[in-house]
Amino acid sequence: MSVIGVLVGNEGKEAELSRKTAAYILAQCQGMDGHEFIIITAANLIAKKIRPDAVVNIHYGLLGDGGSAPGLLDLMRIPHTGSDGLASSICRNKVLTKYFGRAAGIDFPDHVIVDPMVSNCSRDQIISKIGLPAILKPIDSASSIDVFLARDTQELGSALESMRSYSSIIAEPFLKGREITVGVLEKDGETLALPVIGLNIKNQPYQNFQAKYGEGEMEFVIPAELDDATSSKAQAIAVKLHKAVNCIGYSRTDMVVSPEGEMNVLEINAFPGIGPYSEFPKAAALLGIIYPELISCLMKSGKKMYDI
Amino acid sequence: MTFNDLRSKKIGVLLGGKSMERSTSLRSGADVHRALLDLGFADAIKIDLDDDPIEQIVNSGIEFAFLSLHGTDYEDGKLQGALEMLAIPYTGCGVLASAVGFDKVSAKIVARGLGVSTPDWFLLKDPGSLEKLEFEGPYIIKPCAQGSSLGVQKIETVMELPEKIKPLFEEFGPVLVEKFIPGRDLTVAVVGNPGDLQVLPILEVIAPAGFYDREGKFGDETKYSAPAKIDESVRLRAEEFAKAVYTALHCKAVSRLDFRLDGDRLYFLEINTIPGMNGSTSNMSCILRAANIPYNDFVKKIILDSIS
Repeated sequence: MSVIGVLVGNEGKEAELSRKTAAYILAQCQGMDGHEFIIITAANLIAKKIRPDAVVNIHYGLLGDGGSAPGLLDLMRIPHTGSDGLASSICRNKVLTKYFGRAAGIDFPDHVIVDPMVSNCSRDQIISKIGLPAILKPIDSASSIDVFLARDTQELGSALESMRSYSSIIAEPFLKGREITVGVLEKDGETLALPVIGLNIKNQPYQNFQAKYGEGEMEFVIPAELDDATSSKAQAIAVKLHKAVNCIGYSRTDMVVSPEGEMNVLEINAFPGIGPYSEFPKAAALLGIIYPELISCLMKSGKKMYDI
Repeated sequence: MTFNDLRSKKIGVLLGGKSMERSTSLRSGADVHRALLDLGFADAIKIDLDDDPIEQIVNSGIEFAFLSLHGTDYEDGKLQGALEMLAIPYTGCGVLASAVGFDKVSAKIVARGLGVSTPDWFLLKDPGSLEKLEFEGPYIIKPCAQGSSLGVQKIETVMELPEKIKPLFEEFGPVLVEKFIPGRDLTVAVVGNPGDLQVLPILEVIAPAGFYDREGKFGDETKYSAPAKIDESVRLRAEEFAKAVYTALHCKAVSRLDFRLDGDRLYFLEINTIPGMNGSTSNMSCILRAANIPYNDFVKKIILDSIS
């Protein structure tokens, strides 16, 4: 029997979220394929209190560049689910994600990189190159807390002011359209796109992936209400981007579909939520992939996981 | 943490290890260690990494790590990620820059995304896929993820590729086939952090083989010239390209970027996020002499830029 450690975050909100997911994995998967699942922390691993045969990595990695937990696991020669340091850190960087995506033939909105410390110069640059409304976000933040929508010059000024603690931020045009997100799962050697997840915003036109802004309510619709051609196009882009940034096992790509049906990728998440309320497992379930099978797919696609 | 605080702490020079670049690392590390003692780090120790680097680092009780390591596991973001998880600050680049920089294809994708020229390339993930090669020879073949010019060869015709690639593939995994660019080899060291970057005098490496292979890199017949005798316009462009790649990858403290110069056309080849630092024969030591920067001062600057 193999011991599978479910690696959770150490502290803060991240730890709380990953612990909920870990409890769910244990409840759903205990005994699967003869494996014993246990919850572990990085501190326990480092102190050698436990040496699991493999790890389900749900340490979302707010630390460093996002590739820290996979780095530790790889260096300790512990097989683990999900992306390695390379893909995790590329996905966390919004500009590098574009370079890898564009190299694979995927369209991305234009952007400018600005230094908020020189806000006058940055403001002029954004207005001339991007125009308003614009979205401003830190290049490499995992959370969407510090994402700002600037509809006019005054909002742009205050957004830049609020973002002074970041060394570099990225400004992009605010894209009107429907927000969708597409999960990708590696299963039996194939890279599968899951049914498209739609995001409906109630009461507040600006609360979305582009700008989590205001107090409106978000509602996910699976599958999204899109025609087949549009859905297929979105799924193809998600699979292409997953491969372009070298993701392993799973990922989820956020996009905006314009009223004309054009797709613009916003970002890719190398560690999409797989907790009890997450959308990713719900989308997988629509393909008949029930939760334990989802975890089993992640374990089989993980680096060197085939040995266990 | 200030430099003076650090001087009273236990600082470890991590060196050696199991990589193919062990000998290069040992020489760099010995010189760095000597410099640290000169700089007043009375408690500086050398740690030659074995099969369980995490345990070694934890047991050593070090509070800061100077990375004098090269190659797989150490220069590719894994060790950096592990040190983030251990909350031990370290010198130089983080996970992102290390992981992307070590993967030659990823670094080329970023360069191209930035508008920096790089030779055409083809990545062979399995040896049978050569029929998709779309450009003509001569070629340079090299492992996608190795440093110190390991395995680098020039191949004249497409006919010779399969037999030359096979052993390389078996030893190192995915092979990068690059268009050979005639001309000169330049290497550009960038130091500092965003907002305070400095490009050191450019070094030209004149190798007898006409390109920089492993023998050229470590043989006696290779000549060095710094500052390189190049046009002012080429120098400025090389500096601009080097800073652009360094910034996009979020490099920290120091990196060395290799370019090929054909006439006045400049091509990015690769980035070394932990440049070899032996005080007498390394590229870095030639560059430091040309810049009139004493070795010990440079070691101090790396530490200062890493903790800032």
